Amino acid sequence: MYFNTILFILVICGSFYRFISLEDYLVSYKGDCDPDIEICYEYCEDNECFYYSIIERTASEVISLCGKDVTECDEAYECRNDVEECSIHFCKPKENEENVCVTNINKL
Amino acid sequence: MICYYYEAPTNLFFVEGVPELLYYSHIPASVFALTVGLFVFVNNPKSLLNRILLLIALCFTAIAVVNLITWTNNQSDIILFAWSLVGPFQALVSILCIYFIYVFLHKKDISWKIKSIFTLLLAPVLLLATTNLNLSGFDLATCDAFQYEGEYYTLYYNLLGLLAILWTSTLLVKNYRKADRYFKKQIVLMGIGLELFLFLFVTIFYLAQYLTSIGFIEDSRLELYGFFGMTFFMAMMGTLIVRFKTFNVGMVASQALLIVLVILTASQFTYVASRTGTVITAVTLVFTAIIGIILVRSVKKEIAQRAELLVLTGKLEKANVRLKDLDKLKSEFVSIASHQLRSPLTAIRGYASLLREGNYGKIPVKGLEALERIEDSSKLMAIGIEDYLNVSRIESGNMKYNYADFNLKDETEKVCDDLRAEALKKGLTIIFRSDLNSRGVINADIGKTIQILQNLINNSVKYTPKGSIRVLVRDDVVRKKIFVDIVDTGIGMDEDALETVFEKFERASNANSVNISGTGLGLYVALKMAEAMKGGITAHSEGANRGSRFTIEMPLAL
Repeated sequence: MYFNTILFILVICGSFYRFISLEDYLVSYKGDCDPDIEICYEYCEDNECFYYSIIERTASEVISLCGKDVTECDEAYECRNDVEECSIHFCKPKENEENVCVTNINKL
Repeated sequence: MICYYYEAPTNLFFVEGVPELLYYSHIPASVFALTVGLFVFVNNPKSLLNRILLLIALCFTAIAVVNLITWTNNQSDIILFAWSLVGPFQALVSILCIYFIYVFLHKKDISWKIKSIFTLLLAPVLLLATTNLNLSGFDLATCDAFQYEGEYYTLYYNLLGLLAILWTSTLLVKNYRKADRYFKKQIVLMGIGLELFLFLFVTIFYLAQYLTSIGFIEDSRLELYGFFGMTFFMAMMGTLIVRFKTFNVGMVASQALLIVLVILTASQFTYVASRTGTVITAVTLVFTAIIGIILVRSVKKEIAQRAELLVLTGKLEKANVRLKDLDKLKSEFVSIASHQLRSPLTAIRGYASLLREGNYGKIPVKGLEALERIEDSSKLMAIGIEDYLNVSRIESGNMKYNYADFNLKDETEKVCDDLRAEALKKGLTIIFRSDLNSRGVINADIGKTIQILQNLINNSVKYTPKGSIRVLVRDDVVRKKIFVDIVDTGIGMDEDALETVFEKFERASNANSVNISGTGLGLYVALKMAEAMKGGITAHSEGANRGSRFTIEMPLAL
């Protein structure tokens, strides 16, 4: 049981180091999307609809670019070519049946 | 990183817009668990069971804290750090529950083998906790990590919970069958509390996680109900503490615990603002108070019963001492009375013999017959007195044995020779035979052994109207035993008589048919003597009028 206790303490320290010190994880957040040129996710509230894509990238990189808040940071919404772990996901109607996809390219 | 749709909490956990049930399900359950866990630990820190219960309470509280963080915080790093510890803590609770039940049932620590199994089961959860198999990312929009949770990792630690349910319930059922009535009640209470806790905690937690991750439900508020299991568990622990002293906690302390639990429940009114919360708190308070009152009453009743039992035990002890004294007095009385009777009897027998032999002049034939009857009766009386004296000595533990090596075959043959003349008077023959592979030497009291042989052979002569008495001395060198079989063609015994033939004052129902007098003590004395010399006597008979076989068994002195 002492072995497990030591292992447990290591787990707590390891998790703290990974998630809080290194910020070694992916983050996803809503990015911009123009339904005239892309297939967007749609979110409607009070008769007003919003269109968005989903951006996924490493937290440490976003923090280095924008700090802890992505809302006021333009660089958070684009993926540079030299960054590997950065992707922008657009809505895929067949794969995401529960989501509403919107585009004006051709009527879905 | 900050979840941009969510506000930062105040005072660590407090934020608006979370489910009303959140604080009610987490805080009281944790406070209950910690109160009971710390209470039993402080009262008896050396007890392993108490230490494990405290560990379960601490782990549960840790899960409640990290779960509260995931619900109320808006910073991804803090939420992920807390989230990543849910699996290890939940797995640890499951394993600790199994450990707890083992110690509760067997009252001792488990073997290193079972501890190794526990370590092996825990190892994957602990070793993979900081990897992407547990958590790989975070959704800032929904402020959760459901879509980044490792499916197999989550399944594994939840399966550990399922294993704990099966393992503990099997142990409880298995031990319930063997337990006495008192412990059975404890097992039932423990079973209800623990299984309900594990079931609610594991299944609801897993269902909430799974259904949220596949998007079937919007958020995982269903998991909040899982925390109520701990309240049930701790309520049962409280009952076990008060009612059965399972954790060796004193009675006054147990009542104090109940009062603390009621106060804790009542204190929730200070922070529960919503109507639902207030109603639930009120119901819980009433529930806790009722259970508390019932328990305190039952404890008081039990204390009264115990006091009564103590008085009765004291009386019983006194009565027992008195009985022992009386028994000792009885034995002393029998001994003194027998000695007093024996002395004049010796004179009666001696003078009757002298008169019969003509030492006091010629006696007419009718007078000789009368003297012979006096001699025979006094001889019987002497034997009877000797039996009473022997019983008295055996029961008071005053029978002395002088051990020495002697040849049992020779002594048996001598006894046969001595009794042959008397047997011939009745027209019976005594046939002696031996079948030995050893010298037939035993280490015993020669006088007592001869007395046993005389008693049994004489009995056969008395209870055999016609036929013969065969005496066989045989041995079993492998088992280091020697046997003397005394087989007669006498009145035999039925099954009932065989069962009681060695008891005090017992005679076969058909013994009177052959008009034989006896005290019913001879066989009892013979058996007790044989047993005292590490031997024994057994009796066999095919039934009434089909003869008997008595076998003396003694250890060989090789």
